[in-house]
Amino acid sequence: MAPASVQEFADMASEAFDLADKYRNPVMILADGMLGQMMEPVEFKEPLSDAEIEAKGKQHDSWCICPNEDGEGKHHHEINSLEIDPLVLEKHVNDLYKKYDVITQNEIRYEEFNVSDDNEILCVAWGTASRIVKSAINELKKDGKSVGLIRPINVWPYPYEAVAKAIGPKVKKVYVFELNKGQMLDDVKIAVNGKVPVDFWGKVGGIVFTPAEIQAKLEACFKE
Amino acid sequence: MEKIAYRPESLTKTPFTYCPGCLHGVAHRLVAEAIEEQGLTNKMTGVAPVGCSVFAYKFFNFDMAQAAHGRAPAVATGIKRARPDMHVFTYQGDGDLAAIGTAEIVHAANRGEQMSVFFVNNAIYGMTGGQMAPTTLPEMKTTTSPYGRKTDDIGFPIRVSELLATLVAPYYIERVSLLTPADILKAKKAVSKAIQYNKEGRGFTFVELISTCPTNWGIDPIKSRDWAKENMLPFFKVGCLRDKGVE
Repeated sequence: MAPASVQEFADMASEAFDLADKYRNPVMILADGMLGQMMEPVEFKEPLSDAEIEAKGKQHDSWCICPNEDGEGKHHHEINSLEIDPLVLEKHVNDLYKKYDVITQNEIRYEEFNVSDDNEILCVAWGTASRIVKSAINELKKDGKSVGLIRPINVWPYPYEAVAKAIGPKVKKVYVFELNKGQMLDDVKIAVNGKVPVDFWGKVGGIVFTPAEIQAKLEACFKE
Repeated sequence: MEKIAYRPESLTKTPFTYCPGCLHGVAHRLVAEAIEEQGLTNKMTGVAPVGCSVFAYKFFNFDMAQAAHGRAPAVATGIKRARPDMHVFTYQGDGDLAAIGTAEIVHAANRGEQMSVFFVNNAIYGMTGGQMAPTTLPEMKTTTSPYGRKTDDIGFPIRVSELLATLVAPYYIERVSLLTPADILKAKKAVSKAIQYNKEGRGFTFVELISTCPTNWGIDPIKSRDWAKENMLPFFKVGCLRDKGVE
């Protein structure tokens, strides 16, 4: 999960626990240095009631660690990921991949910003970078230049289809902006699948690009 | 006819996977008997380590978890806090607890977590092939200290029980030996006490059990007990280091 605001960051923290509990899968929140250090107003969701928490806990009684009883009802649940028998391990790995498929079906999340058939450039950016790109897009709009943005909210499962669909008839380039050396770039290339060129600009070391810098990069594309 | 020898109910029928002469089987039995005697079989859960005793989750006849190397006290913390109605213990070797798990054991003890820890110390890594552990004795030969552990380079063995006994929170810490039948009877008392305190919710209890590794020491089972008596016990002295129940 890749938050782009402190509010989203706070919401994702509790959501991440619920998703981890639902799918029995680790959930990671990809914050960045900027989000980690800045202050924004946040509204916290209402906490769950005790009854709701208890119900959530009970959904895993068939396999989780819980008190035992004598006789017929006696169980021996094992929580581990170690399978020595290759046939058992093969089934275990295949089961895990079935679960990943379900997560991929259910949990793709992204935001479309200014995406339309008029777009001449499509940007893809997540986290803090996406906010800066939005500012640049708004500035370019004033000059009548149409740029769209796909912001993955979850970077896994990745919104490949959304990126592919957002490449409108006039789009001549997909531009990826990240505050790293291009960790998401390959995903975008997979989504674009050679349809149009993909460009990338990233900054590292905690240096953040300005909206004007992004605007200049995009304006240069219009001149190409 | 009175049944005087039987397999405790709190052990499954799965045969142990240990080498001939290994004392893990004895330690398992002591823990299982103590749990049964305290009537905790149905409310107990354990966390198995990585290492020779990783399959402890198959041997104890109640729900078990298996943690990543050294992380058993962290997993046990989570279980106890999520299921306060249950009792939890960890069973760990010295490669697991005293090396990669140093942070977890120190902080679980320091927080006074409601758990029992059974720490089986045989001064060597077993399953991975007899490598030097933090508990390996000075000049002791292992596959990664073929000329003997040099204390100038590697430092001295860590006495985990003494280390934990410097903390305020732990309720009970005792080191026992499994090297003779008499020692095993004394060890049983310590294990039972830890489980009893666990049942009563007194806090963090820790029993270190001095054991052998005939396979990786390259000494036969009987002689390895003599070797441990002569070499391990002078450094890892048996005795109670903390018992708030009698203080």
